[in-house]
Amino acid sequence: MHTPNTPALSDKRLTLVWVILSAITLAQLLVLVGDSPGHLNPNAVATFSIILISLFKVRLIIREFMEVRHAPPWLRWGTDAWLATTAVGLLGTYMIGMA
Amino acid sequence: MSDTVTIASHFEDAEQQREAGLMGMWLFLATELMLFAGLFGAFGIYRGLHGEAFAEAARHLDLPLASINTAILLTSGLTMALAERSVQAGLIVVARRWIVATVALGAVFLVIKGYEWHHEFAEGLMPLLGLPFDYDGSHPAQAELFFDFYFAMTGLHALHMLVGLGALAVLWVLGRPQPGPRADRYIRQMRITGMYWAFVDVVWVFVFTSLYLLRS
Repeated sequence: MHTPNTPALSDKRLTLVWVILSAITLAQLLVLVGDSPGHLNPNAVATFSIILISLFKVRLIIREFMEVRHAPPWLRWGTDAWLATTAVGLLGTYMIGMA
Repeated sequence: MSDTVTIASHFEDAEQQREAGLMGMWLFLATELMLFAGLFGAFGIYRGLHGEAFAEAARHLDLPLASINTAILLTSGLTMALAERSVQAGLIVVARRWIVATVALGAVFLVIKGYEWHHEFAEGLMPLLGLPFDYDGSHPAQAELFFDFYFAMTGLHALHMLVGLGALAVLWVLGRPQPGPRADRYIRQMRITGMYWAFVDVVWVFVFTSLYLLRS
């Protein structure tokens, strides 16, 4: 956990995280649009990719903007376990909805 | 006012008191997570039951506007983290500017969201308070349920943003060069608000994915 006694965040690293978050959001939209501009591409592979990219985005925000990267192991593992559970829930309900 | 840190009787030292404050925030966020988990869980179950109808209803939402809002909120996450970083470096004036940027981005997000809600109201897609639901798709009953979830999830998220904006306004008012112990307290307050703002970001990523991006 970050406290006033631990090293400060790096501006460059934060900006890089923001660039990555923006780029992968754009990637999600490109996956959704698919290879036929103007027509959204709602197939299962595209949707799976979109969900996985979102989970990666959330992990990046938790790790970097919430500074869990510097947190004790129980918190790092705890947030990862929560994210894994959420992934199972999201992908699971989506698959059930497709069946 | 004294410049020394007041340590409550149940803490051994200032460091333990600081850590307890952060732990308290994590516990608060965990309870918030449970609130949203209930909502997202219920949405997931109904999405599992009515996948095709929910996907069709999702295609009635304004994806370009929501994408712009996502970019705005992610940028506000960066400005908030930069505000924290500036306070840690003792640059209070710079930090206050980043706070203003964060508040401005948050306000723009809410204005766009309000415009989107107004558009949905005008289209007859707001099944709240007995308003008529005018849906042109093939599963109107399930679509109505989808829009119930849509307004509950985006409304709850917007409410959390308002709380965050209020906390940021207080931080802006309190932000001035201060001696050691009080500077430490301000750093901690900034840290806790930063965690809350990042949490609001996380919730939006899930809202955006669940409501806008799952179209099949």
